[in-house]
Amino acid sequence: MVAYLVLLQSASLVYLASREDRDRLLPAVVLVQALLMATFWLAWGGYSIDSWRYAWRFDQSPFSLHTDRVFWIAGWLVQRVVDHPWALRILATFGVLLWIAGAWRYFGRENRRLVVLTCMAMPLVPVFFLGFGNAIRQALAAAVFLIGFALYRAGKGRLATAGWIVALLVHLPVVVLVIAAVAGRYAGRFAIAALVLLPFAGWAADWLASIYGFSLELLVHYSANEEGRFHALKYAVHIAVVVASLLLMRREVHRRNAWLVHSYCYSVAFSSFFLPYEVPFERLLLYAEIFLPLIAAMLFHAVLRTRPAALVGWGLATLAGIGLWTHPSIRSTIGL
Amino acid sequence: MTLAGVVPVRPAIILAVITVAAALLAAQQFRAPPAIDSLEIQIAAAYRYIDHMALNLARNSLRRTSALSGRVEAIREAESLIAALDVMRRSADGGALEEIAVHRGDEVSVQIALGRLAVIQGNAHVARVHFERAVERAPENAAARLELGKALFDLGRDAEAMRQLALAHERRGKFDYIAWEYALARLKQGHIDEALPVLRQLVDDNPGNLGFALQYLQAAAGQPCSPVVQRILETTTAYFGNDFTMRLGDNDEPWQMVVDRTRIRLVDRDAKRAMLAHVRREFDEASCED
Repeated sequence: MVAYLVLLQSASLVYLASREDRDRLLPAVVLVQALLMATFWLAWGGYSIDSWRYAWRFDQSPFSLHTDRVFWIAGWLVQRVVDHPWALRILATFGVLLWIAGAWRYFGRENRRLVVLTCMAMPLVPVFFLGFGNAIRQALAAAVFLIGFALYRAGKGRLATAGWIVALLVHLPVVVLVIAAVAGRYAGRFAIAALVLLPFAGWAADWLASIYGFSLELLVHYSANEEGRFHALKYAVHIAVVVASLLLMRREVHRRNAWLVHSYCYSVAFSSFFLPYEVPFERLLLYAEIFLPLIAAMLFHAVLRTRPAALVGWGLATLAGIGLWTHPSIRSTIGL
Repeated sequence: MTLAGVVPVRPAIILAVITVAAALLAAQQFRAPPAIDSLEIQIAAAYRYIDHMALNLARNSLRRTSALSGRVEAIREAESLIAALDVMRRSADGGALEEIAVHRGDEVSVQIALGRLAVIQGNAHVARVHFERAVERAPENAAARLELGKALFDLGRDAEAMRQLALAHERRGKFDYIAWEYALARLKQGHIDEALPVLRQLVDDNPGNLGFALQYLQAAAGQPCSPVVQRILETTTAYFGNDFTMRLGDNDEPWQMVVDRTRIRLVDRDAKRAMLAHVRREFDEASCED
C-alpha cells in the first residue's frame, strides 16, 4: 500500500520537477492522480471496520430508512449488481472521483496548478482513509457538497443548491458544511470570532447543563464513546492551518479564495463546539477535513514557489504521508 | 517535443511507468490471500447443502462472533465468509463438495468445512469424523479442536468434548472466541467455577466489551455473591445505547437484557467503566455480607 501511495505522490513530483511546458503536462498529471486515487479504493477498499454493516444494510430495502436515502438506495442498487465488497469499493471510487471533479471545478482554468497540489495533499490527510474507507456516507456527501460549492462559486446558484440538497440526502449531518459555506459567504468577517468563541461555548453549555442536573450527552450522538484518537492534536493542527490560511489571505492572489478559507474556518469552529466529546468532535472535524487538501494546496502554492523548494516540500510531505499510511489506526480502519 | 502535440514526451513516459507500476501493485492486491481462499472453499462446499435459513443463521453467527472478538482480522475473516456466502447464494450451483474434497481433501480447512456442513445437516457423527481428521492433520489447530469438541457434545460424549475444548482453549492464541466458546461450554456443564476465570480474563482483555461483562455477570449470578450482582444491576446508572447498536445490533437479546435490567437514567461517560470496575472490585473482595 505504501509503495502504491508513493507512486501516487510521484505523479505530482513529475509535475513539480518538470522543466518543460507544465501547462501542457498538467491535465495528464491530474488524470494519473485521479486514476490512481480511484484505483486505490478499488483495490484496498471494501474491508473497512464497518463494511459488514454497510453490506448488510445494502441487502435490506432502503425505502424503510428515513435518512440518507440516496446513499442507501445507491448502495442497494449497486449491491444488486455486484457482490460485497464491490458495492463499497465502487461507491468509494465514485466519491473520490466526485471530489476531484469538485476540486477541478473549484479552482477553475486560471488555477489548475492548485488541482495537482490538491490531489497531492489529499492522501496526506486522514479523511482520505477514514472518510472514503469507513465513514463513506460522510465522504460521499462531502464530495457532492464540494461540487455544489464549486458550482456556487462559478455563479450557478441553482445547480449548487440542487447539489447541496443531494448531499443532504446522502448524509444529513453535511448540513454543517452547508451552514459553514453560507456563513463563510455572507459572514466571513465573523469567522475568527466563531473560531475563538465556539469551543468555549461548548464547554459553557456543558457546564450550565450540569448545574441543572442535565447532561448534554443525552442529546449528542456518540457522546459517551471514547474511540476518538488524537482529537486534541487534530484540533491544534486545524487551528494552525486556519491561522496560516488567514495570513495567506493577505496576499492579493489568494483573496479570491476567501470564501473557501472562511468556510473552512467556520467548519472547524462548528466542530470545536463539540470539543468536550471526543467522537462527535472528530466526526464533525472530518467534514472540515474535506476542505483541507484545497487549503493545503494554497499553502503549498505560496510556500513552494521555486523548483528546489517544491521538491523539498514534496519530499517532506511524502515522508509525513508515510507516517500516516503506516499508522495502525489508518491500517485498521481500512481493514489491513 | 510533445506526444501527439499535447503532453511533453519525457514526463509522459514517466507518468505511464507510474501508472503501470501502480496498476501492477493494485492487481496484486486483488489476489485473494490463502486464508480467504480456504474460507471460500469452505463456503463453496457448504452451500450446496444448506438452505436459506441456515445461511442467514451462519451470517448472524459470524457477525456475532466477530463483533464479540472485536478484532479486525476476525471481522475481516467474517466479512470474507459473508461475501462468499452471498456469492454462493446467488449462484445457480454452489460448487461440488465432492470435487473439492477429492482435490483438496488433505487440507485442514476442507475437513473443517465438511464437518461444519455435516453439523448444519444435523449429522454429528459425520461431523466428528471430519473434525477428527482435521485434528489429526493439524493437532495445534485450535479451531479444529473447538469444532470437534462441539460435535462430541452433540453426540453426548461430554467428557471427551470438554477435553477437546480445553485443548482448543490452550491453543487459542489471540482468538478470544475460542475462550468464549470454552467458557460457555463450561457454564453449560455447570462448571461455573471454571468458567468464571476465563470470562474474567475476557473481560479484563476487552474492557469495552459489555457482552463479555454481561456473560460474566450472568455466570456469577448463580454464585453466593448473587445479591451483590443484583444490587449492581439494579443500582448502576449507565448508558449502553451506543455500544448496544455499535457492537451487536438492535435486536440482540443479551443487550436488551442489560438495558432492561439496568435503570438508564442519566448518560455518564464514565458510567460504563465505573460499572465494570465496580463489578470487578466486588468480586475481588468476594464478600457477600449484604
